[in-house]
Amino acid sequence: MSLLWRSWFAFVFLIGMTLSALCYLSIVQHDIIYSRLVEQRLAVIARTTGASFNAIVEIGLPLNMVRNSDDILARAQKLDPSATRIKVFDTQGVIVSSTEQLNQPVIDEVIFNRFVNSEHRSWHYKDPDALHSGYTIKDSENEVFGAIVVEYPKEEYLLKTSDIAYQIINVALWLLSFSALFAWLILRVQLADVLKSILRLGALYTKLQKEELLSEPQIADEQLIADKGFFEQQIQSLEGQLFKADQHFRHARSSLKALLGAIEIQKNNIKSPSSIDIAAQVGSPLARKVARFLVPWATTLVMGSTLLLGAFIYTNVEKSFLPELTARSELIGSVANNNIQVAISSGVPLSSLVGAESYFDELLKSFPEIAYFGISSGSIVLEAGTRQQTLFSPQRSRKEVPTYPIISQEKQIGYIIVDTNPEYLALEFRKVLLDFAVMVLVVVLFSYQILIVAVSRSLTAPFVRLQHLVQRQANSDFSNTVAMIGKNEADKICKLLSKRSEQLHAAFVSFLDSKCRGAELERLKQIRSEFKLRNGKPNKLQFAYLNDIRLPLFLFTAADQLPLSFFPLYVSTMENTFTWLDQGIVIGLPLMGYLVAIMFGSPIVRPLANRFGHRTLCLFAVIPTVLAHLAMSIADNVTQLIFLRIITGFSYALVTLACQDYILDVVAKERRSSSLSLFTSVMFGGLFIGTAIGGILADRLGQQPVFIASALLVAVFGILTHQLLPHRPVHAMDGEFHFSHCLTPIWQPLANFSFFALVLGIAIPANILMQAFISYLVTLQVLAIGGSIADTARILMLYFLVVSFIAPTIGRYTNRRFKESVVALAGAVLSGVALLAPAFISSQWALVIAVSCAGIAHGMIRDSQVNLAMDIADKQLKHLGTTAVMASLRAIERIGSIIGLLAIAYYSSQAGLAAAISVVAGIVLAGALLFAFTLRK
Amino acid sequence: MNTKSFSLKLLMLLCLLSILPSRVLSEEHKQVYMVVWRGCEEACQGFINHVKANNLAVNVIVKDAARDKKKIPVLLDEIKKAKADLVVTWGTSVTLATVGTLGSAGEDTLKTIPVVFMIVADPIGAKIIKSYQIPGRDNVTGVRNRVPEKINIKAIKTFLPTFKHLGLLYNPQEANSQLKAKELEKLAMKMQFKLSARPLTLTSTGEIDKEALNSQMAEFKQSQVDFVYLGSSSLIRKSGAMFTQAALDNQLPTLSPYEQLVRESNALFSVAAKYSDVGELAAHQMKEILFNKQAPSALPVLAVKKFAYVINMRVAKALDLYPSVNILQYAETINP
Repeated sequence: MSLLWRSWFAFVFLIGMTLSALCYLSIVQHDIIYSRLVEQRLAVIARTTGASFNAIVEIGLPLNMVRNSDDILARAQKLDPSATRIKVFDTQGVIVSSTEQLNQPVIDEVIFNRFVNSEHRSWHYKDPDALHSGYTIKDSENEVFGAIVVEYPKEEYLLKTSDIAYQIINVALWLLSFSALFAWLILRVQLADVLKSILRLGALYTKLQKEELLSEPQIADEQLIADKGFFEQQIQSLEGQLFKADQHFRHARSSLKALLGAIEIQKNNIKSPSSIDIAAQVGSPLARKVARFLVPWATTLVMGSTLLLGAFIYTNVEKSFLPELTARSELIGSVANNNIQVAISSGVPLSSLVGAESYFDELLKSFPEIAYFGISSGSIVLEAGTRQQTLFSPQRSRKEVPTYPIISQEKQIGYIIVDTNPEYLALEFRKVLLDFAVMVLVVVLFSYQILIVAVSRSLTAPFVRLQHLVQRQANSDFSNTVAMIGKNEADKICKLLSKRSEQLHAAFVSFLDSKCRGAELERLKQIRSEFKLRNGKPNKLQFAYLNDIRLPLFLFTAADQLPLSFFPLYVSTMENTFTWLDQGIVIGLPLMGYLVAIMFGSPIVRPLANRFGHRTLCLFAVIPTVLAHLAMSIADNVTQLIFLRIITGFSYALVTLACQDYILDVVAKERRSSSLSLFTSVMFGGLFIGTAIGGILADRLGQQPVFIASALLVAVFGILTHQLLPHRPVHAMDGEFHFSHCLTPIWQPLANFSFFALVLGIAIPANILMQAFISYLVTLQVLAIGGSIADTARILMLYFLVVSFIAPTIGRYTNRRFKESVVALAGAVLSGVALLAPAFISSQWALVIAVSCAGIAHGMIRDSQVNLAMDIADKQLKHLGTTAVMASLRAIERIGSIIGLLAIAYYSSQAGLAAAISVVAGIVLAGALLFAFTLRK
Repeated sequence: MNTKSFSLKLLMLLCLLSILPSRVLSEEHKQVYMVVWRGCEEACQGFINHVKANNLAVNVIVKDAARDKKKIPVLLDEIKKAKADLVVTWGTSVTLATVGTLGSAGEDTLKTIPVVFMIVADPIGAKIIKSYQIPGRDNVTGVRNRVPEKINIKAIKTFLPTFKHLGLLYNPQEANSQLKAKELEKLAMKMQFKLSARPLTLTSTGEIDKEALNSQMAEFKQSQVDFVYLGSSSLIRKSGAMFTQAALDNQLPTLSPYEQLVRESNALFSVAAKYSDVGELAAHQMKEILFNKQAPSALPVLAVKKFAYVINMRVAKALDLYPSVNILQYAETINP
């Protein structure tokens, strides 16, 4: 397939996949939000009517003894005619009142179970035919007496959701078609130079195949190169090297021929199998040029179509939500109006309404979208809440257009003013916008990972392989071949060059077999040394790219993080097998098991990776992790969950650290910083996406399917690892694997003061910050200051997002402009200071600042500390080796995080969350001070 | 055919036809006696209406004691002689005279004929039965119609959140009225309100002394009583109009245990069942005993199931004491 078609298919596939993912997520998200809004509207009648029954049970009258309960329900149904039936049932499920004649005296079992299991007073249930909105009836001492349930038809809801889905898919298909066309045009025009260059490669291939002598390329001046297109320079360079390689080959062949004389070269005379060489993180100027050219265009097209679809979805979704919000506000106004009208119709004068203010206050508390209730009879008689600016108030609430009139003896004696809360509406839409922004971000991040891998593996890899092999042969190195399956010009040349290597080796081995002696043997040795020939088949080259681990790691971390947003809740629904322990601690036990598994798994990763290779190690983890995730979906007690989380924790340690070690081994030392930053960015990108998608899936599909989704992602991780990572360890160590490598005392490196200061001053505080603040205190603090779980998820996602963006940026500048130690120290100080904000100010914004800064700091510290530890291991702790030093760092930071988490959790229960946050800040700042001291030294 | 003979035969046939149904009826219809204290009021009517509406084969014979306890043994004697199938008693006084108390039923009381009582404020306190679930009497069961006093006090507190002082007038000659006063005394301690309980001043004929009533109400007003409670008494119920008017004249709101006094007199509100519902429920008990062959001892004393919070808005207006918007969402209002 030509480069043009290959690139076009890759582009279209990427755009299609991105748009499909966004479509699916948007439809799911729209359904979730829309269904929530519908539920909120339906809840108005259930709540307000339920309030009347609350008042009845408050005086001690059981629900089944209320004589006029049917009248109360009939009045409620009149207010919202869309309600098909309303029922009140007691704690046994016996229906005590209903708007219709009943065939059965008890409520449906599923609705009764929903009522029994609901943690909130308002609850909802959907069945294939209807939406049910319930409200639990309680007295002021929280004794439950029963519930009211309002039933609505589902047709309108289904019609609206399917309509939005149709619109979104329709627009996505149009966008895909336009993008595909646009991509074709761009590639056709922009790749013209490349295609011309490829034709030149084709001509070169023909010459090589025909054994024609290549002409030495002339060095063109810069103007000429510029005139011939941006690819010219790379092609010229390749031609030059190919010319040299051809010269060397001819020279080697003629040398061997001269020596061989009459000896016949045996084809397939080499019996020994060829071994494998790994070319670590190779690149080529040609491939980089192609990548640099394609990636921005692909990114532009993917981002452009995604943003366009995102904008369309947001606009339409907003349009779809507005009527629901308006309908709810109007319904609340009608309820208030009706209830006041009941009082007036009973004979209470407008000026003597008793308890109207507290009644309105209750409504305002229950329905935050209303800002103000007022009763006017020309002048304001009664009011509650805050009057909104006329400019933003709905027209119908103004005196000139009283929509909610109060009638007495067939005359209007006043009206009710209902002002909606513009802040609430703005907040609702902001939440919707945030939700969709998060989704677009998720999709773009995911696509970017695929894009990079696709460009790397599919489009630039042929050039990388060709240039690497040509370069070797241009340097008289014929020791390798490259296994080729492609049919493009680059691959054809590669195949031909590999064949040449094989020819030389065949000739060489044939001569060795002839048992030559003396001068001939000396000359043979010279030829062998000059052209790097082996006594056997040439080695097959495999290429280890940094991008190999990108997608697998991304998927694995996403899979691991999918259940994060609901896991504590999931644990709390399990059978408690530790009844003697505090419930809060029991909920934390699976997380503790996970951390302990990471702690014990971390030190053995490097020795295991050295022994078995990164690829094998990652594959080891796949089956247990898949099974553990599947088992979590059907687990029924806490012990099972702890055991399964230990497995996933151990697998997490194996995979993430094997990937980290893969990078450390693949890249040159001077590129470690930027490569580790890339690793952090990819890993945290996965964590971010996992958190975001996990919440959406759990909302829509339930909690169990999320574990199955995790298992599927891990299985895909396994397949990608199997396909993408090289088959052998990058640096196979001599000797056997010894567990003594793992058992090197972890505290031994602590004798070195630099290492001691790094671990105690930077690594442990950073881990305490992660486990105690991010994973524990943030959630509790957000809930404590009145936020929701959705708010918590958004704030936490910010952390992962910031880390994934900041880490590569920081990595680019470390070593180049700043020392790693300075970067790590700055990160620690930044996070310590930022944590003081939520320690002293109880607001979500303070948490947003602290979490964002913690993300920046984490991005600064994470890779710097690894590099610093590697440096210390290379220079000051050479006798222990990098394996022992890294194992020590990883184990100690994990131990620190577990102890820190326990201590902070205990302290927060004693002294409060803000105090606990200030302690974390103190630990981080004290650590920074200790580390700064070593810098001074 | 001989005309005379034909006429004679026709006359005999007509006589036979006229006699036959009454014999058949007297054989199939059960004889149910109802002993009432003050004539046949709503509960009594409710009973009769239920019998009629359900076409039950029951003859209801109402016997009025006309507030004279001495008359009751005479009526009982008559009932015994008529071999009544079942007796319904109205009120505490009649029921006590008809069945006596647990373990001390007199000679005159009914011991074998099934008895269903109604409108008895506190049958356990009056020792008529052991418990509502198991009456503990071979031939007695009944129905109850009162909400617990705790509910009444809570209702007052909901209506008037500043409520602290309750005034009670009770009939010293009625056992249930005295029992109710004692019950409220205990409740006052528990629910932290002050109770001023005074016995009614009666005339020589046993009627309420109107002037004394007015001065008692004035005294209540003076001692800053917030609400007046009509104690459980058939006398008070009968004189409800006078009683509630006296309270209203003194600008005192009245809580009545009888809905009728809200609907027809000047009580401010009640949390009560309709008396007709009580009669219907008693008829249901009667049906179980006579037609479903249930032993009275096996039938729990049934409670009326439906109660309503009924407010007289005309009185509220006169007192300038309106119910809150919240109460009006579930209360029934009259005289808007």
